[in-house]
Amino acid sequence: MNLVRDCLDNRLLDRSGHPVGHIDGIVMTIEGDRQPRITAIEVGSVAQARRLGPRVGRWVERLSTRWGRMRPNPYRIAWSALTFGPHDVRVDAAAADMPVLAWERWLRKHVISRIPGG
Amino acid sequence: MKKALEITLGIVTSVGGFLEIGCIATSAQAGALFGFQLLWAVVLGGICVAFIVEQSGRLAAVSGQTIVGAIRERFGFGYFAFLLSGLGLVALLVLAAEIGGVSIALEFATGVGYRWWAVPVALVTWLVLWRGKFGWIEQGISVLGLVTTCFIVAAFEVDPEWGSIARATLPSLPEHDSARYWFLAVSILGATINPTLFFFYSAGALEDKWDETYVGVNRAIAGLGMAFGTVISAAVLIVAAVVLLPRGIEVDDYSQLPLLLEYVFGKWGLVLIVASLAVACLGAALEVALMVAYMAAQGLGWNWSENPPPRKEARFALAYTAALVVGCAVLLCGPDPLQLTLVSMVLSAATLPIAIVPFLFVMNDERYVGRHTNGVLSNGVVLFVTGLAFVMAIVALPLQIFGGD
Repeated sequence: MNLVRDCLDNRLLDRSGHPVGHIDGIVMTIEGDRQPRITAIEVGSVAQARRLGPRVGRWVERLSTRWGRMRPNPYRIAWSALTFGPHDVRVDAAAADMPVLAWERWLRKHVISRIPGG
Repeated sequence: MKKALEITLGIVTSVGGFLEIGCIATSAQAGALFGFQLLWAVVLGGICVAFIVEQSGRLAAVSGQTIVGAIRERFGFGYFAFLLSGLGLVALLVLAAEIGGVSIALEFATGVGYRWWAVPVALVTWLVLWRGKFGWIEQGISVLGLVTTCFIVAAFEVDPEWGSIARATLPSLPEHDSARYWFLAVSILGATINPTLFFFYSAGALEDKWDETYVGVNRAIAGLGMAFGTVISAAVLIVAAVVLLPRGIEVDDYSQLPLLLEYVFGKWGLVLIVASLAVACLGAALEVALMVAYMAAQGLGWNWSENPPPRKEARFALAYTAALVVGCAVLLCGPDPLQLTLVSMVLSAATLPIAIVPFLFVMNDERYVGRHTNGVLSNGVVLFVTGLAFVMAIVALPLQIFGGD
């Protein structure tokens, strides 16, 4: 597998095919002299911002700790929970329970549902 | 047969995507100043946009991916962030111009100044998106959009010299005001080959649940849909050339637009121009607002679809709401709407390569489109016109700013 081509930035869906987000980062674990292992992926605005540069990353991280709904951000998903398809990656969990959708749920409850017709 | 009815996606993309305020304004100006001479820009833009729209539909049908989703995947988050900010900003200017277009139609109808209409128009647009489903927005705008065929009737009524029209489909050098000429040529190309158009079309193909069996139908829908738009913008230019040029009326203000049809249809001309402008610009405003939300949602992995109620995809609904608020604010505080339209069309042409170049890579990548990759002709046409529009925009923008007109 080519990590950048087949994993990074691919669409992430939950077990019933609902969108979770995209794979925003890849976590590699290095322990002592052992061969490095890919252990998890990261999703969330902080992981996205870090890719634009360290300063943007720190800035969004501060914003997120103060105002953010999503905890933790970035959210890590264990590599073993992923299945790779031709166009997207599935995670063996339900999107509705994941912290990644915290903003979606917050907006739905506090903004959208309060507007008639929402 | 059922698939053939999907032509509505082609027509709605055409009506909202390029038969809108930008196209009517630039074609009318071009005809009023240069006669038939700029017809080649309309034809060239139309051919190119048909190729690009066909490709965007093919990508959606074969891979189940939209352009933005595929670009994010292939070129990474950094490029997506750049694309979203660049095209997003231009789209907000275009959205302001379209809300302006509907407002001006209402000004013609009522005599009440366009700024008073900005908020009600934005509100109605929002309400349609908030309550509406993709299917009925698509069919509604397609059917109402047929009113714009009155320009074709007008073009035959004014009895133009068809020989000179045929000659004008090939480019020629201007005899006067060359800065103005090139600026208009870029505006026409920018108004025609607009990223909104093919981003919207690829998202629409997925909203309508296309799959690989649609590859052939898509070709017909893209071709016919874009031909519809091209013929009508050409008709606007022809009418302007016959009606406005001999009278020395330059379209330097929108209030001159009704003259186009009043000459042919008498007092019904006003009704027809109000209806055409209102429908086309409303369609465009809906399309651009949706396109901004689609772009954010597809690149960031949100739920996106115009079919379920807003609470099912809160962030998507918030995105088009915010786009409409900003668009409306720009129109209220901004400059003269005709200037706004022309500048946003040129910026559109200048930002075109940001969207098209990565899109071409995706269309040649077998991992996305399998055996349906682009042929030499598709790649050639797109590269040629993108390069042309970009170079012309780089040249024309300073001309306009530093007193080219």
